[in-house]
Amino acid sequence: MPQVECASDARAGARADAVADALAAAGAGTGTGAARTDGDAPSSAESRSPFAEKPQDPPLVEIEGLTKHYRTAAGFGGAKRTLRAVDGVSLAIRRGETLGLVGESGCGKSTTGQMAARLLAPTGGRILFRGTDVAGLRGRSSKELRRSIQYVFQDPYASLNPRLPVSRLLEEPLLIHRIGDKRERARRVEEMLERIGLGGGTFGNRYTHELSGGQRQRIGIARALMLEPEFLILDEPVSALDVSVQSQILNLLKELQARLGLTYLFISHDLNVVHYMSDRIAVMYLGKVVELAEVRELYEKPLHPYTQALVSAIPAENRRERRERIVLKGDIPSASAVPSGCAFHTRCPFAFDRCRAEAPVLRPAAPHEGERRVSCHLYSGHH
Amino acid sequence: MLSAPTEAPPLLDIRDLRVELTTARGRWPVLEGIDLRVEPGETVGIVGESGCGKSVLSLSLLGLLPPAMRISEGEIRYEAGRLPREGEEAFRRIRGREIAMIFQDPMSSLNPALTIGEQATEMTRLHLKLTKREAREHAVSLFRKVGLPRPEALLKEYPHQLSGGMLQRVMIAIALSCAPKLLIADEPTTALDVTIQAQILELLKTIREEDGTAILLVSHDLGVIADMCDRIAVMYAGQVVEVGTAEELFDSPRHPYTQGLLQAVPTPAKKREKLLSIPGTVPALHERGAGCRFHSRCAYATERCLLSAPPVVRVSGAGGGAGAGTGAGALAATGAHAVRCWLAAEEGGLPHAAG
Repeated sequence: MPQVECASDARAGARADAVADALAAAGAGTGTGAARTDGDAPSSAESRSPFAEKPQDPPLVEIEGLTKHYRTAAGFGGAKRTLRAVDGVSLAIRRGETLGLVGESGCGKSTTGQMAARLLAPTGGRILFRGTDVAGLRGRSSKELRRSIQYVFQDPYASLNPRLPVSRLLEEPLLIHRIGDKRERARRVEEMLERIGLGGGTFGNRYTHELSGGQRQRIGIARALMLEPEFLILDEPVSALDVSVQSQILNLLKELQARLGLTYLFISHDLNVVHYMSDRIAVMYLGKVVELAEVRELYEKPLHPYTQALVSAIPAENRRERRERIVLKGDIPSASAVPSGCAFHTRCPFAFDRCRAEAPVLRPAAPHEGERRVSCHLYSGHH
Repeated sequence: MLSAPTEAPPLLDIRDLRVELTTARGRWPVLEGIDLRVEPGETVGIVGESGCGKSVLSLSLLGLLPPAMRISEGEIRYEAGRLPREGEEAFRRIRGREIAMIFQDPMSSLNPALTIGEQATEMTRLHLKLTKREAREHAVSLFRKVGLPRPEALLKEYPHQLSGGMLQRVMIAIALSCAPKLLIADEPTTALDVTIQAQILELLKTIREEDGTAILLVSHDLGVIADMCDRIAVMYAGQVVEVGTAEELFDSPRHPYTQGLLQAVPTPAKKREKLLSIPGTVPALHERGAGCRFHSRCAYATERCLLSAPPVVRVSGAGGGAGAGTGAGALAATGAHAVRCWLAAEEGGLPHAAG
């Protein structure tokens, strides 16, 4: 592969290589493997086109007005209440990009991710994957979809079966989807171990309790990759890890993305980690996206008062770079008692009457702000 | 920040502390040769990754070690008096009154079956012999101080009715109730959200400024440590491997482990770079050999690092005295930037006198 300066070219090149790899692998593989590659041919060809941050490219994933409401009993004889875990989230995720999803606990970021992976059924809205509404898919096409979308959990210790050796954990997705014979599956498992930096040893025979935290998370990622997915939802994948190990996993994720042309939805509460991984970031507060922007814009000039507080609260390691910290008043309200109007008004230093009465909408921050979106009355003067 | 070493004895002086774990397979040192001082009003950070012994260290200061662990060597001095190694009675006079502690998870540190009021008044009634009413009034004033809303009503509530951030404020209020001179905060914000963490860190800063309370802050989060501390001790596998002021450690770290940790943190400036990661894992208790405990993961390790324990070298600072010397004081000396590494010993500590 020729050395290229431009990041997008490099990415496209990497993807072309990966596609070639995949084709070669499929050729050497079994009937099922080849069939899958054939079925995917149009999208492979499409992904060969140079990746550029072009908004007009059809997004790989489109989330439209997604909601997840729970009816909760209020306790002793009280009326039932509605917990709005996710309340009208719309996002488009482009092929090959990493969209970061940040917010504090209870903001609905994991629920959004789980719905995108079809681990949870939404109560409203829809999810389009390659332009197809995933809700209607049944049987074979539903199974196909599950191969394309995979989920990596925060705690691999809890999400991996402790009674199975690593090789079996990695083989399982192939078994479920009836891919390859025994030898073919063993080969793929060995290849995957190699790819995640645990090859050539006895890792296949070990159990999860014999692995370190970082090694376990590698297995969690490997298991998600066994079915050669296009879209990976990474839910706090490094939150349980120490800094020195965390960086290994972040490097691995970036490397895999470049080589395999993966698309990531990266969920995290750690703003440094999200910055490092993402191309664009969506900030969530109480079930809604309050701001959506390119990473640099978001960190250098956050628009929403909540984003401003979040960004200012990143503890700066370099004492000279330290910014004035904005300390918000009060607690995050409960999702079963979301404040009226703008949900953030109870903690917002700039709240005025309109914020208490009317909910703002996520829309372009200014006429020429391009794709940047913010949901705040402070910026609605332009409309 | 503390400027120069003072004549007065340090508030807390840990000397050559060794804590051992007894198991069926023998006794293992969990902490070894720990030297650390905290001056009155100073904020000292202890940073390290999981398993480095930072929490064991903070527990050992108040006699809260689990039954299988005990202090086997060294001593802990508090205001020039020696703290007991064990014994409930002896610690009871100090705990809460002189040295208070807050933990990572406020939910599990408070008793779910007792009201906030019962728990917030227990210590002042015991230590300060306040009446029930006085203790309640005292608690209410402290709740106000730490920024808790509707403090009177709070006394009758139970822990489950409060959010994590509020509970941590309650814990801080309880910890402050006897006006301790030293507050040990073990990962006080790790379980909290970013904006709530910011609130708690601001509160700790206010307490430090208004009451002159010294803080020993234990954390794995370099950002929190950098933000809060005057001096920092970096721990690795049961030892302090580097100690210095915040500036010294973040601007010119000398131990390869400290350097590695700093480079591994993803910061906006490193967006386009591959992050440095430290290969391998922390050696388990029974895997710690005779040499440097970091040697198996260190890019600069030589045979000497494998074979013999590195000396503690003073690389700069106002500690006085010569460079190299194992243990005893070099790492503790206030104001000194010291490191436990052969590399620094070779490059020569400051001054070069040590031959």
